[in-house]
Amino acid sequence: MTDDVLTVDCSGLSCPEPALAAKKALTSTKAGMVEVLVDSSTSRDNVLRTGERAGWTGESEERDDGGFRVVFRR
Amino acid sequence: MAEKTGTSSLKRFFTSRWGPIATGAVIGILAPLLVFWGNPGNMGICVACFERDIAGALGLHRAGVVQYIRPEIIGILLGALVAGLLFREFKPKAGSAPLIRFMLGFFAMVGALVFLGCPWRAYLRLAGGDLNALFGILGLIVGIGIGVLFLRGGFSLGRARPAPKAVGLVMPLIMIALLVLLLVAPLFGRDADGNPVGPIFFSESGPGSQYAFWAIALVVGLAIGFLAQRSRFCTVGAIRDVALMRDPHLLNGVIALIVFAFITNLILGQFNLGLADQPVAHTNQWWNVLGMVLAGFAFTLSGGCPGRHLIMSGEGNADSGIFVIGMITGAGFAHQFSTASSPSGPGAFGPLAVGIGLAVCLAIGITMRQTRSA
Repeated sequence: MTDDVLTVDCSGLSCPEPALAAKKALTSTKAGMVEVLVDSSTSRDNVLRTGERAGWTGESEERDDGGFRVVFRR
Repeated sequence: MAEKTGTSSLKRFFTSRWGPIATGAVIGILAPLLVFWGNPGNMGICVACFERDIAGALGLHRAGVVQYIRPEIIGILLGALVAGLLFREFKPKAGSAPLIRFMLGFFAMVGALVFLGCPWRAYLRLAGGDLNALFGILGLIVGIGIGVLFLRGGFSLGRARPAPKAVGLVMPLIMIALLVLLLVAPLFGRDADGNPVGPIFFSESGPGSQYAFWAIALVVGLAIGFLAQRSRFCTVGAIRDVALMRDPHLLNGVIALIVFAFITNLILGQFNLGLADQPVAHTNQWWNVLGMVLAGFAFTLSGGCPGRHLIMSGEGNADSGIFVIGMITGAGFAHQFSTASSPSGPGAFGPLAVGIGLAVCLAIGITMRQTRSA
């Protein structure tokens, strides 16, 4: 585990790509923190649920452009 | 501007595991009631059939028995718009391979009309005792499974971009125009004998002539659209998420739909178990399966079931709007080219159309991919 932050930009992608990309990143990364960028609350919820099912702790914040930044920590 | 997820208990409820379950239960109760109030058998709500009826009402096909502007469709989309505006989730966007989405909508409809129903109706038919639906659902699962293989392999229709508000309002405004056309029912066209006909066509017999009072249908649609927007209810995502990520979140909603529709049908005396003589259904099981293989495949590549695309259209997603327009256009072609089934079986060119549709979807699946940033 490292202190690196892995960023996965899923903005604009349709279901289920954001959740799929998040899962792929969360299950393969060595980074201690992963941030996933999405543009809809549906994707935010899907990504959060996927991450938590994979054993990470996630929280989200709204970005100025109306999208969301979902941050996962181990 | 940080916002913790789930600021209100209502928001939390609908995004919790109970959201899709509650939505499925409400659809499961209201759809059989719509049949009780006048809709065709096991067709309380069918997004494909109802868009097909709208296509007929607009004269895009001349199958006289399936022409009516269905207020349920209008209501679902506008209900989602209302929820989107109330909860700040109306976010217009566009630009993710629109023409490909049109084609997917087109062939999803072609496939659904070979089976005679969208996924919603497949589950509702089963809950009404129509065992032919099992074959449709089997096909749906296979079709979604094929789509999942492509998703695993990196299939993507690319990114949508934020768009001006006006873009997101196009589909809602089209729905309002349809509502006006339903209520005004213009008949200023004339046939060869001088009788008033069109531009809006209304069936005088068959399924298109069977409907609940428009205001009831509209209100039911609004309620379902509102709930489905909040809970992200999706009948294709239900199976896809289990296959792709072992996530039963949406599947629970579909199970609730089937259970509650089954109970409501029993109470209303609408449950009729069997294969033969089911309403607006045929017993050619090969084509019940294969029609839904095509539909499930196309829905999966498009990102959701037809109901979900109505909801996303209400949220301002113009790419979903294009998908809906593709479905309505596909319905016009399906009846004009005799690819749609009837209670007597598949249309003359249904099998050929399913073959072409599968080839097109395979081509889309193989060619559409994008390199992700992660």
